[in-house]
Amino acid sequence: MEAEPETPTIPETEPGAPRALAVRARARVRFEEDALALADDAYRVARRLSQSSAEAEDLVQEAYVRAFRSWQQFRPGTNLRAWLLRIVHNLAIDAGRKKARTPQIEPVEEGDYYLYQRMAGSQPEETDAALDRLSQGGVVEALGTLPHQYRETVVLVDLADFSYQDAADILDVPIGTVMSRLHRGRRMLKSKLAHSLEDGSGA
Amino acid sequence: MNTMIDACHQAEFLMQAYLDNALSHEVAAIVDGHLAGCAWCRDAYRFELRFRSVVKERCAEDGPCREELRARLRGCCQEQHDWADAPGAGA
Repeated sequence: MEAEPETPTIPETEPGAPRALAVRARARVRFEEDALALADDAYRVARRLSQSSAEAEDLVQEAYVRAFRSWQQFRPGTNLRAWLLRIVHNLAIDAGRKKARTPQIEPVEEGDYYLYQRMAGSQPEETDAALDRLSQGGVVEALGTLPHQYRETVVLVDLADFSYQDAADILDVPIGTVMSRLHRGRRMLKSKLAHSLEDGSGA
Repeated sequence: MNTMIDACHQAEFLMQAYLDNALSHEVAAIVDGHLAGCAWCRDAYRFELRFRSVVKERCAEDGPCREELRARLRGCCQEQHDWADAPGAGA
């Protein structure tokens, strides 16, 4: 008696297997939900790297298109926020190359307490009041004058709360470069704000 | 006196990394010790802390992204699904 041929079975490890497809679909939906939940973060960073809110929105949209296309390149369990903002950053760099470069300003030589020394009064309340005089427009404008590599580092660490290491991963530079750019960028920002406060434009 | 000035300079040099929690426990303890005994540096520390907070607050005043952008992003997501599900696109 001839043996009945076995019904061919598709191993569940095959990419086309029903269970594998279901797992993949769930992973994709999860990725999309998690990515969409980060839209505010992506927009805030993009806004500070762009000249206008419309430009920032286009940047975010393009970043999400790329993210949705290449979602399988994201390794679950790693930092999705950093992964997504790396795409935003790369697109901002590309956009920046197409435009006139931000005027370079010389790194300031003043110390880290420069702004404090310029704004400090004899009472802590006076320094608090001086800080309160910093307007949104003044801070945003001062940040916008920083050369791109300093601005993006300050934005990632000081505004988006990324660690030095995450910022280094996003910017694809050594951690020492992040620390150095951060240091200089913060000093430049303080110098710019001190000058704008003194001439009344930043308050 | 010079020792105090040197300690203040050292505290200033380390302050940003101190605020970033990027110093080792040992070095952070040195800054802690100096701040405990130096009112000027303590005020400067307070200022730096508040300055960061003010910059962050001012830059966040643009607010979250608009609903319209969220809708655009959801639309992009759907487009990618449609593209992936199209015949011949491959899974």
